[in-house]
Amino acid sequence: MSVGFVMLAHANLDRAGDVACHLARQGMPVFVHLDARTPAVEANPFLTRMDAEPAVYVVPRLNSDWGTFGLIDATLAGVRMALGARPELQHICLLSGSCVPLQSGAVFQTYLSEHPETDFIESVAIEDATWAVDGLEEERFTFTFPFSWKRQRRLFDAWVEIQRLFKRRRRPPEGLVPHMGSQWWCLTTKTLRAILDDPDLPQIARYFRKTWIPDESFFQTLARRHARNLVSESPTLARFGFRGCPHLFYDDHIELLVASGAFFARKIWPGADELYDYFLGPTEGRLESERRPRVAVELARSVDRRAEGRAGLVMPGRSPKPWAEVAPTAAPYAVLHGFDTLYPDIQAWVARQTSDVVHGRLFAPDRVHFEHGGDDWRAGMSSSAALRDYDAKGFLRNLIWSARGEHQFFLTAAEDLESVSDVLAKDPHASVYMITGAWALGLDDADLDMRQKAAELQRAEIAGVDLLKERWSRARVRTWTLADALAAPDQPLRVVLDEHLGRAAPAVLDMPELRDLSGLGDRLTRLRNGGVPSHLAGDVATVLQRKVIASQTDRRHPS
Amino acid sequence: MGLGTRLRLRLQRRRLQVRAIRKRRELTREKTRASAELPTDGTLLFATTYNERIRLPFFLDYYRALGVRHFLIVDNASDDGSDEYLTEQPDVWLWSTTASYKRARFGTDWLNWLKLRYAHDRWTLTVDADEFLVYPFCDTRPIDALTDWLDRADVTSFGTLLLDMYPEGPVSEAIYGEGQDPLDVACWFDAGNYSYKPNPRHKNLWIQGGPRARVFFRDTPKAAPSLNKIPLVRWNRKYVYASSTHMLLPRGLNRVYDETGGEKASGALLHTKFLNTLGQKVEEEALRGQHYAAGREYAAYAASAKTGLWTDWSERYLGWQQLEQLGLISPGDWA
Repeated sequence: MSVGFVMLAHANLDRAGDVACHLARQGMPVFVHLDARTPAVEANPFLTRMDAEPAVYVVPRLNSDWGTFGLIDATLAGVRMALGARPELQHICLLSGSCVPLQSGAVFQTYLSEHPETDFIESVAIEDATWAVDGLEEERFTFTFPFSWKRQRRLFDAWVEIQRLFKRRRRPPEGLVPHMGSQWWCLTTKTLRAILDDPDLPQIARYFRKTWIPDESFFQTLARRHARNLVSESPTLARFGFRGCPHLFYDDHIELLVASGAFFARKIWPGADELYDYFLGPTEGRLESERRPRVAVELARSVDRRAEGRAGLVMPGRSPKPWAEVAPTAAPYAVLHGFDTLYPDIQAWVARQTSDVVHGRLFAPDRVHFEHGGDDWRAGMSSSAALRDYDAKGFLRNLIWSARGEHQFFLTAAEDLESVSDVLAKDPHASVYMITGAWALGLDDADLDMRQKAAELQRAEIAGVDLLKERWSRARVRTWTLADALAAPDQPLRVVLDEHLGRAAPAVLDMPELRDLSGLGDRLTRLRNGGVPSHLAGDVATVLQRKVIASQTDRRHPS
Repeated sequence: MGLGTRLRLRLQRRRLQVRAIRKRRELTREKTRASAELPTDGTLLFATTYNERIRLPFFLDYYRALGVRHFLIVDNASDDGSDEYLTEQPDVWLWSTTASYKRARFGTDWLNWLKLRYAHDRWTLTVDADEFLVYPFCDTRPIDALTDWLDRADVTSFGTLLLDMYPEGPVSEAIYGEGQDPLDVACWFDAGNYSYKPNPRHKNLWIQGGPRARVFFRDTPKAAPSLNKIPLVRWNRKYVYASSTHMLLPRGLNRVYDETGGEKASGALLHTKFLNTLGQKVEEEALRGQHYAAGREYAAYAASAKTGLWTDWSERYLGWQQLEQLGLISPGDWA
């Protein structure tokens, strides 16, 4: 009724020694294998210390480089020694020198004595395994790997490519179904004896000698063959991060590890003094924690962050190329173009209707008009037009980022489009509602340069609208001509509200005040005759005429 | 990259190296309480100082608390007792010089030489006396944890944002006392008004913005100071800092950011320049004419002494977790 450990160590031997002694002193023998390549300066004191410990056995040293069959040889040597020296053992658990026990030896032993016939080893059929580095899942069994992944990466990759080209398929020995899983396991001595006594073992070892990272498949495959009661779960919590680097645990992980419910964890950062003291110290007074295995979630989140990042954020560690992100901003927003000339009170009105953040003309040539008109806005954004135009894309990105969780509106007018339409066109988060030609309402008849001004505004607006309507444009654009908007002034507002309230707008809108239209028809006629025909305003004259007729009709037939 | 660019960059790097080697003559090693031989483990911190006596105690203690055990400091003719103070420290290796700070490219040449000589294949941290490194988990994990992890991930340089900290009131009224944490008097910063532009030639991310752009450069944004810094590098004798710690050569070291959408681990340098001590600095620098762009920035700072940099939207510094949430630093895949 007992368990022994085989420990593979190669560096940070002070820590490995501490763990080995800690386990051995709780009555569980430890068979330590030290990599033959560890330099004598580090190895000798460690071996002396291990020799002095009664329940620790030193396994003859072999070369056991990462990812090679040497690790299997070392493990087998440890297992053979354990079975010979302690025939009464019921389970053998494989650990590394950078593992730490999360529970007391008594708890682990009790658990195993409740499951005397069970083998604990993560073992997944290769079709179902999706975690491997470099996508080498099935190929790690069908190819050969004579080059070191760490030291001869180019040769390694080239050789893989050549084998892919020739569709190489090495067959496993008859009756062997390759499985993969975590390198760290706890097997019954019955199963281990069956593995060692397997008459095909030399042939199987020959096959695995040429596979890639056999320490994640040799025992996983053979346990499937010999175990009677296999639980596909490793007693050791070990996770791999981005690009296959193992996650390290630090002092601040103690709580997370306690809650994980696992028996062991790896890898521990050798400098994590507090963590080692905690888990190798007395068990009294430890944190009482209900089992909430959040650790996998936390670690997976960090991998996501490295691979995907936070959408719409640029920071010192993230500057995605345009093709690498869904949108340059963090959240959808809406732009109301030309609305403020037709409905002077539109900013306050939209804010009232939607309770969203509604800015004024953020991209006005004179300055940035934030929601309440101040000199700065959230996150220290400045009202300076020069700062904004220096990096318009960044300005918009910062604006949306700094109010994540809230929806924002802003207004534009014809003269603002020059600095912003290019940015909007590239952003699928932009919903742009445009009343084109509305600038005509804002002109001053008394202005002697009116004709020239109108021509400039029209040119700017046409350029902006054309850009937003380019085939590659990713913005959602809705347009009404000024004539459309005059004919049915509630229509554009209704569409905006319908799309941003999350529910239908009320049947009768509490309409904002419409600008005084007197003189508009004459002004457009004069502009046309002066050589500036309006291209984007629509047939305003007809609409205005109809309105006049309608109002006269109303007067004749008072209801 | 074209052959021409490669050659030009290589030439630039070689030229900077030769320059650093020639500038070694300007440095005199001073005896301190530290052992004569430099220990072979741990991160090496490099700094140049000029009249920073009042800041030194907290500066050294801050980095000692992060686990830095070796400081290599060039003192540029301070007359405020900095050198006496530094010679008494058990972990400071000190060099002194009276040569021109400006002609040593603001101290970069001197430090390039010391790194070439002492830092091959070691982690180096290059900061000013008013810059405080903050990285993910810095409250629970020492700097060796970070450098170990970077080693495992095959990363040789660690990028940061220079985060300007400022007081709530006028800068001249933020009175700093020796040994005090500068954040006690200047704990405010701008949370998200930064502009990031890739620099195709040197592959670094050019960052501008913050309170200085907001207040001093609101009409001339292009002239605003650079806020991108790469202070933590696993050094190799082939490397040089090309311009302060903003840019390194070979330029691959400047790629501290991900371009495919992910986040690489990055940190911040809390820049605690805006204290009452600035006033004295401004006068000295104006006299010395030894600072960047002939102290052009310093002229503008003089104005801030009265008005300050604070706004209603300023953020009060709470810790690295806050910077992470705001999107200014990232733990990347370090969990």
